[in-house]
Amino acid sequence: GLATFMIVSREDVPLYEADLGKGLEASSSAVAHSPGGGASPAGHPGAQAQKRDDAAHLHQFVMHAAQDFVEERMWETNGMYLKLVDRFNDLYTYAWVTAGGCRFLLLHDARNEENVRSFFDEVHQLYLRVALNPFHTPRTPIENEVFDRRVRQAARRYFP
Amino acid sequence: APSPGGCASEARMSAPGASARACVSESALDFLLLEATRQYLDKGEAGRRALHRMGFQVGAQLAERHTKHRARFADSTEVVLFVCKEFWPAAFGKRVDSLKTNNKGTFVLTDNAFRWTRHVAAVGPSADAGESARRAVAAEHTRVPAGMLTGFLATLGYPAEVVADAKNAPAVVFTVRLQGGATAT
Repeated sequence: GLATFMIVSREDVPLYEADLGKGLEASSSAVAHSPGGGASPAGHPGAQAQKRDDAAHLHQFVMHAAQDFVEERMWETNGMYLKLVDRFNDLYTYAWVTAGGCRFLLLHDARNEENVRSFFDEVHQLYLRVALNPFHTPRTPIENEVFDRRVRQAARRYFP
Repeated sequence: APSPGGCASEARMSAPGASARACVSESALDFLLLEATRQYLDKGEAGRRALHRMGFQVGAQLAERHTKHRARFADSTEVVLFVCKEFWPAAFGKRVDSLKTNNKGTFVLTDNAFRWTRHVAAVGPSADAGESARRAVAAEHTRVPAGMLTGFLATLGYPAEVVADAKNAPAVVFTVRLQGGATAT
C-alpha cells in the first residue's frame, strides 16, 4: 500500500525521506520503481504528475505535523517502537525512536502494527551502518544509494 | 572481557548469522592511538581539542551501536550504570571498577587498570622525573577516551563535562558532570 518514510535526527534535522508506496493509480507501478521514486516523474501525463505531487506534499505535511505527537509519546514510554502516533483521515503515522533520539516516521494507509515494527527494526539496522560510517555526522542527510535501495526493498516486502 | 584470541574491541557489527565477531587487534589499536595522540599533541591546544572531538565522534557512534536493542534510558543513573557495565567493556576491554556519585549529577568512574594507558612509558634523568613524565604522557592519552565518554553520553541525551585524572596511572579516574539537569527526550 501507500507509504512514505522519513528519518529525523535527534536535533530535528531531516536526514532522509522516501516515497515508498505504489502511487495513486494502478498504471503507476513503473513509476514507483523508477530510480528515486520521486513525486513528479518527468515525461508522465501532467494531471497524474500533479496529483502525485499534491499527495506527496500532503504526506510530508502530515508527517511533519505528527512530530509533536511523536514527542508526546516519547514522554509516555521509553520503548523504541511508539506504534501509531497520529491519524489523518485514512493515513496513519507510526513512529520509532532510537536510543540516540533519532526518529523514524512512517505514513501508511493500512493498520498493521507488527509489520511496521518489523520494517522499523530492519531500517534501524540499515541506519546503524550509515551512522557508524566515520564520514557521517549527525547533521548529514543520508544520500547513500545502498541505504536507499535496501529501505525500498524492505518496504516492498512489508507493504506489498 | 577480552576474548581468548586477545582482541578486546569490536571493529564492526557482526553480520546476521555470523558466529564470530570481527575483532580489532588490541596492539594495533594501541599503536594507532599512541601515534595519533603524539602527532596531535605536536599541534598544541588545537590538537588537544581535535583529540577530544575524535573521541566524541567515536563515542557518539558507539552509543547508537550499543543501544540498538534497548529502550531509552530512564535517568542519568541508568545510563551511567550502562557505561560502567557495558560500554566500558566494549570500548576499553573491562568494566569500570568503582562508581561514586553525589546524587546531584556528578559521577566518578574509576578504572584501576585502564587498558589504553597501560603501555605508556617515559624516561627522565631521574626515577622521579621519569615517573612524572610517564604520568603526564598517560594523562594526554586519556583525551580520546574522555571524548568518547562525552560523545557517548551526549548522544543518549546526557550532555556532560568529562575530566580524566591519570595521576595514579595505571588507574584512571573519569569525573562526569552532567549539564544542567538535561533529560533525554
